[in-house]
Amino acid sequence: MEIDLIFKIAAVGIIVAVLVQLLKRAERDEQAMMTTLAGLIVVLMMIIAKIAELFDTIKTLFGFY
Amino acid sequence: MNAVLTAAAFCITACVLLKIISSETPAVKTVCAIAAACLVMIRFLDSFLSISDSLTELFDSAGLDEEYLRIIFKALGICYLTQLGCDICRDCGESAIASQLELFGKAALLIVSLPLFSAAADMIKTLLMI
Repeated sequence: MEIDLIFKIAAVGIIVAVLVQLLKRAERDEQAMMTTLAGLIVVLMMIIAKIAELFDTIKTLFGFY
Repeated sequence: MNAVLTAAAFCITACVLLKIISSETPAVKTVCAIAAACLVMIRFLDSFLSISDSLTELFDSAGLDEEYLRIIFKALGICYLTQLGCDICRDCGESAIASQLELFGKAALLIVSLPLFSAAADMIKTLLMI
């Protein structure tokens, strides 16, 4: 199991949290929201391949055609 | 044995990381949880592949129809997928969507196992004829 991927996602989460805090203190709420959204998209792009792999495995293993 | 240990360590590490990021970025936390679930499941299915071959051999030696085993595997796959989807939805606090998915899974399971019901009905019919 690739624990690296989980670490990567958690790191992105922590960095986004810090950035959002900073931007909110600087009273830039819109940019804070955009940062959250960007972080979410980055993380989603990371896991989309894994979800596809899981579905492919299930398809071949259980005979869904 | 070692694989279970690895999986347990993996899950615990993922849980701790989720706890850290859950209060600040709940969206990223959800994605992280999905990733962890997918990775564990991929590993499990890889080990399940070796079991499935011996299961097929067992079925062959029992002289049962191969089609039935395929139906059982399909049903198992539907159950896994539905359970995973429902649990992710419930983790996000959307129990309404989860129960709809459950309903869908039940219907799909019924459709897949319909040939078995008709086979059982045929068997009963032939028994009654005798």
